[in-house]
Amino acid sequence: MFKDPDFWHSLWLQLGFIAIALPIELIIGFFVALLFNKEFPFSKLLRSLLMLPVFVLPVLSGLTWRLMLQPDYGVLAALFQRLSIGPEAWLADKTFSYVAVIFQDIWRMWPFMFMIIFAGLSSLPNEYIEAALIDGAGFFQRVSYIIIPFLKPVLAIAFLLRLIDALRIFSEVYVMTYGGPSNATMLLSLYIHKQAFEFGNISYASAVGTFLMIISLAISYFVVKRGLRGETL
Amino acid sequence: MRKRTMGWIIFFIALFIVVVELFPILIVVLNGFKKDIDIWSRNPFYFKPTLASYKKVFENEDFVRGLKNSLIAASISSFVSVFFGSMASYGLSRYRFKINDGIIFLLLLLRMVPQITLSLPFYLIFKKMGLSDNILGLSLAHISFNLPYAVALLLPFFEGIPRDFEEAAKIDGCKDFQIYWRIFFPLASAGIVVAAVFTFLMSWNEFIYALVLTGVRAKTAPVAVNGFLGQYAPLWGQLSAAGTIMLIPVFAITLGFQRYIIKGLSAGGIKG
Repeated sequence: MFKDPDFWHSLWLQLGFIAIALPIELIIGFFVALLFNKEFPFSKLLRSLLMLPVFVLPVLSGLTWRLMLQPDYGVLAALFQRLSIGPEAWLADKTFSYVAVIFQDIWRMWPFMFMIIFAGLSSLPNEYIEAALIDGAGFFQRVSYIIIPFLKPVLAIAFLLRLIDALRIFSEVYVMTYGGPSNATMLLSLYIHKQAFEFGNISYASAVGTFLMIISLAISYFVVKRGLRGETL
Repeated sequence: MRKRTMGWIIFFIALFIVVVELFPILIVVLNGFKKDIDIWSRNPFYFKPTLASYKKVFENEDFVRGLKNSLIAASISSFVSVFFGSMASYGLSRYRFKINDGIIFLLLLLRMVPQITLSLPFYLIFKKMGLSDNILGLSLAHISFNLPYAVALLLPFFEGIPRDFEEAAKIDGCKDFQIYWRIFFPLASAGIVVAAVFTFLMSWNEFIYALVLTGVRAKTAPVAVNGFLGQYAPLWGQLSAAGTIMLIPVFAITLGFQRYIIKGLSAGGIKG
């Protein structure tokens, strides 16, 4: 396995995917949660609508993105074309298919971060903020000295849960690109599936699968330990 | 006055975010009301609603069977997981042994094993046992992630019930199983419903096991939806119609059980 260049390729793709998608999801989720923490009309309704994408069937989400990116008749493809961003057929391009897969994940999962962070935020005592306001703290000071330290455990849990999830991402990518074009989006789970069910290499697939499982469980260990001490929400 | 204007400004920013975010879902729903041919040949903004795709979808045997299979697998795995999961959860919360924490820990950890890894042994075992392409086999595979999830989700509900109830029941002559079934099960009913609904949802959305473990007969709806991609030209209209049908219970559950969603998510993630 460790001598297999395709395995390394998949591993790097997987790590890159996580390194790009998760921080962006966290940042969007965080700032939108701050926004929704204010009082404004219809906030409850908009909040509930915002969490719908998280529960959309992964398969359908992948297929929708595939449809939107179809050259000639996809909505997003038409938009990108007008703005002359990227190639005509995103999913046929090595770099842009990878970008598309990451886009899809960000779209689907930043509301997850939002929901968890928002729940954490609503338990932040108002006095903290008021006291800071009296002391003349600006927006960025309030965020970096009060809100982030207070939310640290929540942010950690949200990030770790997403990390475990992102490590095993499969369905969305399977239907969107099937790992292609020429392995450009062959994330670990897809590589395992391909080895097992396309090449019939079940024992080799199991080796990679075990590797993936060990990483996942190592991360889960921290989540579960925190959860047991009652630190989750 | 100033505060109110501020509120409306935030409202419009938030509305904008929501509209952009829900745009892909809107695309699916709208495309379900178009014909395949119109999606291919016209610009994406052409829209003349028709039910043609829905009609075709319901005439499509593969999808209708998939829908039925999805319902069966989700119902079985949800029922079994909640039934046995609630017993396990009750036991773990009521009978304090040193080993309990270890068991809970292991259960939660099992929930996190990547499904693609588990699909391999399932595939081999089911093939030997004659359970491949069998809806019971698939339900069994779904129970493997739903059961630990149900236990974890229900624990705080059972722990929240005061011990006095148990003692009172014992004095009235209830046996252990009766205490569980007559007293604790109804008292934890809110949790039971939440667990049932979320396990159903996870099974409904599941794709990897359905893809690997089923063939023609036990295929579930998500796999059938993917099948609309076809060999030559993707049937986007029918695909979208089928997808919209699949989304109805998902959104009903999500919006109906909002209060519990954070709890549901932090009990170990929602998807695989």
